[in-house]
Amino acid sequence: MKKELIIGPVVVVVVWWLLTATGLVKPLFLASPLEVTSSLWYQSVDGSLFADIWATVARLVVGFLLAVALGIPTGLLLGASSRLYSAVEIPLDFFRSLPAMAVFPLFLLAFGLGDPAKIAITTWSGALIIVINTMYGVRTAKVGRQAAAKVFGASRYQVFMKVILPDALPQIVAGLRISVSLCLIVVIVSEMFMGTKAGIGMSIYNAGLLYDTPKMLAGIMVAGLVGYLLNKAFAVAERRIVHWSGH
Amino acid sequence: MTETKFSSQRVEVDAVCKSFACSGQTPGKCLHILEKISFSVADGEIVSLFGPNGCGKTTLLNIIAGLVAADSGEVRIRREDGEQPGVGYVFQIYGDSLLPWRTALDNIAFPLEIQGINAHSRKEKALELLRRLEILIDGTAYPYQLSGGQQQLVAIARALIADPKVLVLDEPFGSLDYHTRITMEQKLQHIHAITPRAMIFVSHDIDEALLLADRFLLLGSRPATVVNSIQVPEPRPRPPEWVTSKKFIELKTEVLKKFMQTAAL
Repeated sequence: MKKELIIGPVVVVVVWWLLTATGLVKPLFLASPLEVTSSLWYQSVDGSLFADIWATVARLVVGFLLAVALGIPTGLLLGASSRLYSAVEIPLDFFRSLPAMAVFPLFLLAFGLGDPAKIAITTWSGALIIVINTMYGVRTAKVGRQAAAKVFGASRYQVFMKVILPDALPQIVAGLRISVSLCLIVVIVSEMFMGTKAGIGMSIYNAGLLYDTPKMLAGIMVAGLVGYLLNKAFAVAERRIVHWSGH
Repeated sequence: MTETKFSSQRVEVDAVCKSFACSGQTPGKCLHILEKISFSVADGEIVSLFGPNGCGKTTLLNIIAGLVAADSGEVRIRREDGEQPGVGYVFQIYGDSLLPWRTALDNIAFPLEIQGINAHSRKEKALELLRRLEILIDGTAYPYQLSGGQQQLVAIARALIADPKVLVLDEPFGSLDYHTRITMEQKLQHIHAITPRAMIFVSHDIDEALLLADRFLLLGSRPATVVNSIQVPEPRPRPPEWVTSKKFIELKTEVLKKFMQTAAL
């Protein structure tokens, strides 16, 4: 660990504290670090903090895993067959350009107000990213490696399993990392606008409605922390799993 | 021209023709690459193919290796009972042909894995091959941890592991620096001495092509055809300095003259 790493967080907190302590920003818009900390403390004592985190992470994990299960096979299929890809290219480009929030009402109609709607929209958004990255991974796999395998007598199945798939893996894993970040965004937003009993998004939104700025900021910090840890975990896994990436 | 110390022909390339991008609508748009290419390679013989860039040398190797079908003509590869089929291929760009997610040893053993040989014995065979060819590399390293020369040695070992009777090499040292290149030319001769077989060596460097060749074929361009064939009757191993000898210069002068005539056409 580099010592310089600590500088950034310290500066942020000090500036934050100065802004509130000097009265430069009104407490309604920015609560002090102390108030936010005590809000976090109260929320953990009454258990609501962990209920919120648990609800959000559970939706995220289920939605993301479904996205992986649907996205990777679909992406492999589209990558392997250029005719199939041409057949779905336009709708695929259309849907990936469509903001997830625009289809919230549609998912509410189809799945109701509960968790299924939130998970479905998370899966939908996350899967599109995975499909596209997996597909590009397969399509940009190095032809020379496949030719080499063919010379050594590999069947089409062997070429796919032993050459194309591992060759596409760095791109697939990168897709997963981008997808999980997007899934977190969609879960949080869906909790804000679809209504629920627990969730980080709900907590932030309700606190905002009630002008409870310390609680709102506490929720924002927790959401940021979850996203940060997810990204870090994926980056570490990426370096280990696809160590050859970029070569 | 038929004077040769090699007994039996292994590869016979017979009037091979190839065109690309021919479409029914625009027959005039045909890119005629190879025109009636014929030559043969005997067991233990190294034939160098030399010609301008883009003249279709790689396509010819791909046809010999069975990766691409010829439009007409055929490639015959003699195979006796108990001999392994197939052609060993060393590609031009090792970075694009080695599998970077596999260690050097797993790359070398890859053709055996395709054949369904179990992990233990293919590892044994790969190690044994490295010992026999006197290739000193760390088998547990990944390709990107090896130098360019080492990576191409891995590619050569991979091409030889299944013991094919024919080895084709497509400008294998083209992207290496001068010193590594000279070392590799010597190393290849050494490997050939240990385990001689029919070899087709493509190069766009006259010195390299002549240094390694038993027979040197000059290809013309668009469409490529065998313009000239020269025997190089010099015993091996041929040291790097051989390219400065009187004999070499005479050969090179002859080849260069022919090449200039071809290029002027």
